[in-house]
Amino acid sequence: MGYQPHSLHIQGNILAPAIELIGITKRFPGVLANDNVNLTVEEGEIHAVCGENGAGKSTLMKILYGMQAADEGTMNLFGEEHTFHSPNEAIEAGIGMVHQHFMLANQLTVIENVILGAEPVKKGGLVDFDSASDHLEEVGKAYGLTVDPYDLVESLEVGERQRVEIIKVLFRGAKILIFDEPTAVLVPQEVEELFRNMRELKANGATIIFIDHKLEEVLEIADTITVLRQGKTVATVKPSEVSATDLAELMVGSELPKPQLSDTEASETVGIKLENITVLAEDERPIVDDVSLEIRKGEILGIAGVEGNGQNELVGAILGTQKISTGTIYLKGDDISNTSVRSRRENGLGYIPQDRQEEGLLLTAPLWENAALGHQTLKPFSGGWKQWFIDRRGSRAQTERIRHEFDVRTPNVEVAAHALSGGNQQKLIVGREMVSEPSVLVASHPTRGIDVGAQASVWDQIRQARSQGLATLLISADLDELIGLSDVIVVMFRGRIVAELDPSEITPRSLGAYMTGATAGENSG
Amino acid sequence: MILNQIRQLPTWARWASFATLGILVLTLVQELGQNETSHLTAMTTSQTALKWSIPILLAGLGGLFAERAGIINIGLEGMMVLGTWFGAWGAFNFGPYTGILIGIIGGAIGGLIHAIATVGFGVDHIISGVAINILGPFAARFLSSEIFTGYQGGSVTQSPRVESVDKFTMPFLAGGYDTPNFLKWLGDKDVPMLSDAGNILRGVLTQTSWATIIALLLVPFSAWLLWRTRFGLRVRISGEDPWAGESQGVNIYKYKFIAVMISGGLAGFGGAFITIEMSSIYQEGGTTGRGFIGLAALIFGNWRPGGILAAALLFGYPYALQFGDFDGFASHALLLVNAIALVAVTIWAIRKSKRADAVIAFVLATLSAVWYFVADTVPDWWVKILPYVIVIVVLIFFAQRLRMPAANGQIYRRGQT
Repeated sequence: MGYQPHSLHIQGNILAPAIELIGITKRFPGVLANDNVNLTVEEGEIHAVCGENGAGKSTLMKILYGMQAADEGTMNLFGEEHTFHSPNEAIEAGIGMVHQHFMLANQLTVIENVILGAEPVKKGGLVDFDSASDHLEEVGKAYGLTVDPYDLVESLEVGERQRVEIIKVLFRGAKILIFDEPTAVLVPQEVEELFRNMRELKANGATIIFIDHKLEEVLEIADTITVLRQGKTVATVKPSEVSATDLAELMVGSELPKPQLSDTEASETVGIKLENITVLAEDERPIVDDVSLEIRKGEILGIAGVEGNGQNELVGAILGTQKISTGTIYLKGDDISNTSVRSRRENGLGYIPQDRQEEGLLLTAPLWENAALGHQTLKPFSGGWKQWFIDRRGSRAQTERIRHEFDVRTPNVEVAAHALSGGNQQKLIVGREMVSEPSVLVASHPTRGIDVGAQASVWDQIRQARSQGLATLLISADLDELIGLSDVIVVMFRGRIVAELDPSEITPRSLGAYMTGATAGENSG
Repeated sequence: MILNQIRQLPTWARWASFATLGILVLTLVQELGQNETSHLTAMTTSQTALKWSIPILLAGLGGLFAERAGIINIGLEGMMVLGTWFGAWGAFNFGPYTGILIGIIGGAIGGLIHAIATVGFGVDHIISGVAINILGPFAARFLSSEIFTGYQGGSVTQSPRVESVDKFTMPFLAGGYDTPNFLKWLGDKDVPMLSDAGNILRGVLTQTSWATIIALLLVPFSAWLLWRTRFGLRVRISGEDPWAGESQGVNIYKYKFIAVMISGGLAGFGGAFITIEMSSIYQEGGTTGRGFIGLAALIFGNWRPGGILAAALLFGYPYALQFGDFDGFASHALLLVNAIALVAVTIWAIRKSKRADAVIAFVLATLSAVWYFVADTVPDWWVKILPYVIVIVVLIFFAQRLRMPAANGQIYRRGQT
């Protein structure tokens, strides 16, 4: 016990599959998350489970990992029936989960995070950090994963954090590893590294379940693919037998939309112009370092970059929430560097925040109040003396308009924002920015975490606004989206713009190289 | 600058340097001041200051356990009140040692209620804490009217007199057990700095209650428990990222529950200390808000045991100064100490090129100094509000350097990631 890896006792049939889920059904109030799902995973394979958002992948994995209990169905591991009531029991049985949103405490060290729940102890409950770090090193060496055990997690890069997640699982002796959308947070180069690690794990006898909806990746790494749609298993296929398009159609049930631009000429008028913008962090280090940009009307400028390279601060600088130390910002030709956020918004700056639940919405407020956010000082949301009062009737009418024009699916505009699905929340936010007819739009990850249908509708709105002369700054981690939608792409690395690229001449892979700083920018500006 | 070199020293040496700096400032004020202010570094002052710091320290450590587990415990005050009552009841019936133990249990009951509400039912921590702060005094009043009114010398607002625990005087250094008294000799020599340090140390080592010694030992013990043991790691994950802990099979509810009960127990110890060691009697309202000051010490101490101790001593000192300061000169001299401290903050802020902070600190320093030179005494409310003033000033200048547990105050429900 303790930190020693559990040896897996295979008491059942040696030839039985590692995992066999039969007829799993899980109901949530109003939703059938899993509807009679069957899944068979052979020992020592990499088995991909794909499907759209809301197809029931995560629920299925939570059931497998003991975080939720299935309403119906049975689960066999190596031919033996199991029911888990907690992750602990799943861990005992040799299952480990590499979470999409890292389950790591940032202010604790790597070793503390890893040993948690299975701490090796000396007499008196004293944690034996020495033997723990020895064991961690052993595990790391065996699988080619290295990381300093005494580093604070907050000091690690995203790829390293993921490695800690994997080590954490191996440390507990897991033989079956669930990877929940592990590539969502990685750049292409890091994805390759991850795939190398996964193959190494497989070679060492581990069984891997890999959840993803990026089809090229699935086809590259998986031995078997199971597709879920609306809570049901649609098909189980071999990657050699299908193309990416086939898979996509299996997932969606119809043809897949693509981000693409029509060729329209941007006008000569400049919507927004940034001149030598520098933003300093608390420790006086530049987070945004001498950035100059110009977006003309009818143009979409995409910013590529690994998260945390100054994109958020740049958005803050444009919006007015972040103090700029030097530089000037011109909105439609006027210097707005020292104006308030409200005056910038009133003068036609639209904003789609990256985290709709944190920044974009008041989750417990009704939709019509949410629709007024950011526009509360303007008609039709306000009225009376100096626009000091909220115009409830006007707000509701405007929200109804957003609801219809932007296809926000809701019974009425009085429901609280948290009752809407992610996609509909996002459509509401996009709608409220668009109906106010901004001249410049800052869109930060506008389609993050929403399903294909809602994604296509958001793309449509952005394209339409572009043809009507909107200047758009687009930030996205989805490189296909960035390449498909942008007229120009600039790459941010360590707060600087290191390259300016033509999206028609670039692939996600080569873009990834710029993002990690591997390729020096020739056209840096 | 000196401060930067101090920062590179090992922890014990760093604290010692800060203490030396403090004594240096106090000596300077005595030498330079207009009046006779030897009371600033008198043996009785440090003796009383230590005693007055202990309830604040214990409340702060109580806050530490709860907040390291992610539960804000604003109910410390109420739990402390329970500690004062139960401590008195226990001490009256079974003697002071058992009294302290029963006081701890009384506080832990308050902690249990807070844990049931916040951990069990997911009630907002502040609401539950405020409820306990209301509940504590009323429960004490009710129990007094039921029990203390039946005792000789008891009433609805107070208990009969209770005994204190035994005292300890350090041999050789402070002359305990009929040994030579080195520090007294040093203090009588009247060497600047050295004699002051000697007096201060002598006060701490003379007639020290065993309860005080135990409370002080709880500081390293808490650090050891939270940072070196399995239990501590699991408590801390509950406050940093309970969902991560849950995903690795840690029973977060259990550790939060235990931590909040420890928290209540420590606050109860603080309450019992007030009753048994300080007033020798349970008196309604006897905690005088020290649970809240403990909370302030927790923040001031950056959620670390050593920091909490330092904060508690800093807050206890102005209280102690009032006793025996008949002419008010010593309390008055605190203004000059303040001014010097604020000048130090000003220099620090200039070096960090925080212009606004520097200006504010300089203005406050000037005001403090001007007040010192125009008046000969200070009103007594000045000393009473000083701990709160210190907290506000510290928060103004150092709030960004403070770091509370990441998931502190968040409501955690199992299975909701």
